Amino acid sequence: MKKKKWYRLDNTGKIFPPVTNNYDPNVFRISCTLKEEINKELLQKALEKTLIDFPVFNSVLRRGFFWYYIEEVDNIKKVEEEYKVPCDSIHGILYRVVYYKKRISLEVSHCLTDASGATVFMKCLVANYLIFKYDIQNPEEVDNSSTFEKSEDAFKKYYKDFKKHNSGKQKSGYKLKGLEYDDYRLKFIEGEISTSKFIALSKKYNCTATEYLAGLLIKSILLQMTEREKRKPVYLTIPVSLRKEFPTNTTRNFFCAMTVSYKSSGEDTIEEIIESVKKQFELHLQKDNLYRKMSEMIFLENVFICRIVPRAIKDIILRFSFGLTRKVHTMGLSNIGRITIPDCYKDYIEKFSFMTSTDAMHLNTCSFEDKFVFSFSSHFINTEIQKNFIRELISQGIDVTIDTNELEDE
Amino acid sequence: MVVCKKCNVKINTAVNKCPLCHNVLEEDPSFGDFKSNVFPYVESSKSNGVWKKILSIVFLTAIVICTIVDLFVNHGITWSIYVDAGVICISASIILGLMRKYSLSGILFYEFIFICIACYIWDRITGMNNWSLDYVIPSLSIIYIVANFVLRLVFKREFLRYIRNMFVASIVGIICLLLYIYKISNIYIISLISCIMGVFTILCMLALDGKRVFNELGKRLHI
Repeated sequence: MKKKKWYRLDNTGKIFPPVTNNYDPNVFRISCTLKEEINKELLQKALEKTLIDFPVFNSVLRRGFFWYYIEEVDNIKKVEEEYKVPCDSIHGILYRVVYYKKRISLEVSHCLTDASGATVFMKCLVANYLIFKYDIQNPEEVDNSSTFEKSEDAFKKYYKDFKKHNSGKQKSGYKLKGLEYDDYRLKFIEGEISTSKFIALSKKYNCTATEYLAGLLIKSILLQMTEREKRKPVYLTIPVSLRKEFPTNTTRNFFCAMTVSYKSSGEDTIEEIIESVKKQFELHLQKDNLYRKMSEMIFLENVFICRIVPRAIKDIILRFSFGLTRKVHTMGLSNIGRITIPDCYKDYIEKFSFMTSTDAMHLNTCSFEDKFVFSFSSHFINTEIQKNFIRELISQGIDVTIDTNELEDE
Repeated sequence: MVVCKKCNVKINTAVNKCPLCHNVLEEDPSFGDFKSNVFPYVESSKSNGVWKKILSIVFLTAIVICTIVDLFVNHGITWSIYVDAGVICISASIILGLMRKYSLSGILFYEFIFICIACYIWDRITGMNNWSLDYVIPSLSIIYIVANFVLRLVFKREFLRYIRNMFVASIVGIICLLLYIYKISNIYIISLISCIMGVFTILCMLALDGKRVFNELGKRLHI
């Protein structure tokens, strides 16, 4: 019998199993909308071909006595026509591939990979599908890394030592509250705008696209807060991929999260907010600070006493400490940036989009060619933040087209 | 495609209300036509957790009635505390059994551990002749080993999937005999059978494929 390969969870992946529940299954989705309807059989064939290069994706989460771990399995999940709410809980194999009309969606558990890793898998899946469907001759390679590189733990690769740094106590922040949808279902509002117009808008404020998004999001949150609530700062949790500063081809988790805060000063003009956001981005994104953050995350994992604590107790401690970090969390913002794919596939692709499950509300963005897609995922029936965000974009002269999932409770 | 005149946004989905301002869309040419939707319509499952809710109400009612009757009859809480604790134990065991995140073998494992601990605590609290260590725990380890063999045969899964269950049950069986040797428990025959079953199970697993058993243990016990 074939020996099954198993992997220790990477540093970030360790936090997800204990805090995963029906409310926030820690699942994210990368979708690719093509120009023609999807053929199920060809998609299954493409998935099987893609998994040969990404064996680590065909894994299940197992419980060890001290740690969780992931183990490769032989059976491959069947692609299905979508029938669930996006980012629903995943059981068994840690991913699912679904399709609906012209859209292929890959949903993955965060225990396995992050958005950058899943994007590489998704691009290969789409490329393989297009090769089967349109019989593309001499297709260009989407990804050249080895299967070993794809499954390596990049945190371990770059960790050297740890220097304690006192980051100071942060004041608890504003929490989003409100009436929620039944059965922990999420409402998604996906908007599409022109990438070039959006970049031009960011340039107008002399900042990057992510900085502008963060500023605009804070402004949208502030607009729906009461004067009393404005006493508390707004905190945005923003994941930062470490691949840029610490080169690796891993498709497993390799990111850390930074927190950007803003406390209302009364006026709260967009310029004022963006200025504050820019300063914080500059500080957080320095290589030294990223390295320090990464080391802090890995340090505890390497302490022997912590390692020999049984998993069941670790789960309780991790759940508790995760709860503490949520005191400085109002909303999440993830921008995976520009998705590129070789020219031979571009003509068949309409757009890419990205969305995640959340324990409150999250904004996800990505772009492909001139289509910049943002997706709000939210548990709340109230859509004031989404409305403020989109109306602000429209007031800046940007055309917005939205899609949404229909829920009964509306 | 519909346009919300209040938000000035184009809406691709066939909806009759604007997803942003929740105002009714005036012109809705694509109403009823789901061709442009990028997400399927998903109905909520109404039956979610109904059994759990019914059971919770039944158990809570039992606890309240017992406590009230005890208060009326004995002018204080006497026997009802045992009934209440018993109801809590039974409900905890049922809730454990209904947990969807565990497989059947996982549920059996946690039930085995829970029942062993609960019986031992009951035995200590009530001071009733060591019945948990004499009878219940050794018998449970025997039953549990047999149950795992049956599961393995019925579901035809790899025996390594049951390695945790088998090892824990075997170790409990061996401990039962040690407890008799050190005069902590009193019934010889049942402790001996549970120990033999335990040793037999471990030897069986090692004989079947010792190398893979050690690999599996290395995986599950990695630090």
